[in-house]
Amino acid sequence: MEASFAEALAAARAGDEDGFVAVFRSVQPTLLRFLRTLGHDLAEDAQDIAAETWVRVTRDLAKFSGDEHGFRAWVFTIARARLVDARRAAARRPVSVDADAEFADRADPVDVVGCVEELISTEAALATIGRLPRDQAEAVLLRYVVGLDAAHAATVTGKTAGAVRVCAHRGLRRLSELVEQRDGATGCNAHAPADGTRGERTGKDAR
Amino acid sequence: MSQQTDDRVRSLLEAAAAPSEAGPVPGEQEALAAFRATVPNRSGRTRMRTHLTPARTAAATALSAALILAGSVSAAAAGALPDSAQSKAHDVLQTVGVDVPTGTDHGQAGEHPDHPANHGADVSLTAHSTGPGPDHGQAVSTAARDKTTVDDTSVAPGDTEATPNNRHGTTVSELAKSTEPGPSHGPTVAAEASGGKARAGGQGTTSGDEAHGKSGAKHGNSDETHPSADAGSRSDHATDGQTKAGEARGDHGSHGDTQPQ
Repeated sequence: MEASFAEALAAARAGDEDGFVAVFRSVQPTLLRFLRTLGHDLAEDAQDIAAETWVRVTRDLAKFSGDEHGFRAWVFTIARARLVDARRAAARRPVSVDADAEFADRADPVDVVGCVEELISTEAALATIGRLPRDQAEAVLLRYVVGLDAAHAATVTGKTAGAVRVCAHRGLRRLSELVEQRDGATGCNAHAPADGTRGERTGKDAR
Repeated sequence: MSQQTDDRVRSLLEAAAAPSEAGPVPGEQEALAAFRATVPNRSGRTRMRTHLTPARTAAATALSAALILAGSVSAAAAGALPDSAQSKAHDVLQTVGVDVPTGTDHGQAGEHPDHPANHGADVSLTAHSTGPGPDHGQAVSTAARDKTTVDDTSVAPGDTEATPNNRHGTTVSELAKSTEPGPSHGPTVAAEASGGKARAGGQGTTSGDEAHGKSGAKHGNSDETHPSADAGSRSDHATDGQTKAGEARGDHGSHGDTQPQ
């Protein structure tokens, strides 16, 4: 897999469209998940931000040098910068979390099987991660969804590798608490955060 | 954190990182367009493809060059090139044994003031513009002599009848000069000039026709070197407005004193 991505990346850098498409299809899904999870309050702009990211990537692709992890880290660094720019426009505007509305509209709480299936779906999992504090969600996404190691994730976030590890660890622990709360509840709709904020996030949460 | 919780978290993370469905992903066309705009010349799909191999390209180039060369040589052989180009073509092709006209061989009468074809017209103009009098014949004779610039080798084939030998004009000229002015001057010179075919009419005026006859003799002299003027041109300088030439061979030296039969 690594070799094929490296070959596609090399071809894309040489101007080959097939190589670029292969690279794009490998990166874009996780990029959209990253943007939608961290910018769920800006969900409508996730694809626009991704498009802006790829414009920048294609512009500087020929000058890039590095391996797959380096390339992904570069792409997500650009995307994160664009996300921060987009968030600044709504920095002080309270927004609701779409996942909460999704959870509120769930089916019969006693349908445990259905709740579990929905819980482990990609969108539901991302929605759960999106309920974490932003730095924790960012670290968890980069480490466990995008697949970067601590060093590359630190490059993306502008933190040290140790800070990324700490954020990721806290994020996982927070996810466990959310799961335990859900398991301890009598119904599947018991996904509210322990602090009872129901996931509402304000602009001051943004970095 | 229980083991069960760890498993649930692991499952949650795996679900979050699950591979997406195969096929185009959202935003692919936009990104591809950006890619094409950034690297249009290096893109394999946007690169224009040609079916011309190097061998075919070389063959096409050689064929084009051959066609251009053949066309140029044909134009040079036909004398259709401009004078400067025709001269250069003449020089170049002469080195390879191909004879083509020079740049000045194909000029038309009237294009150049010194062109031999204009000789008759020039002399005729002098004859017409000079009024009758003692100097008329001399003026026409001078014009005929001065404007003779072409050597005998350029005499047209049709002129060989008028100048069976190059001394004919000289003979007529000398006769015109040596004959005393008088009523018989014109007929004498005319008879010599026409080889006996012209008959003197005797109606010419005495004073003026004497000079006319003399000028006609001078005119005959000019015919030695007369190049390729056509019959009309020669007729022009043979007739000064007072005389009409009836025969082509009788027009030399028949100014004023000769009438057609």
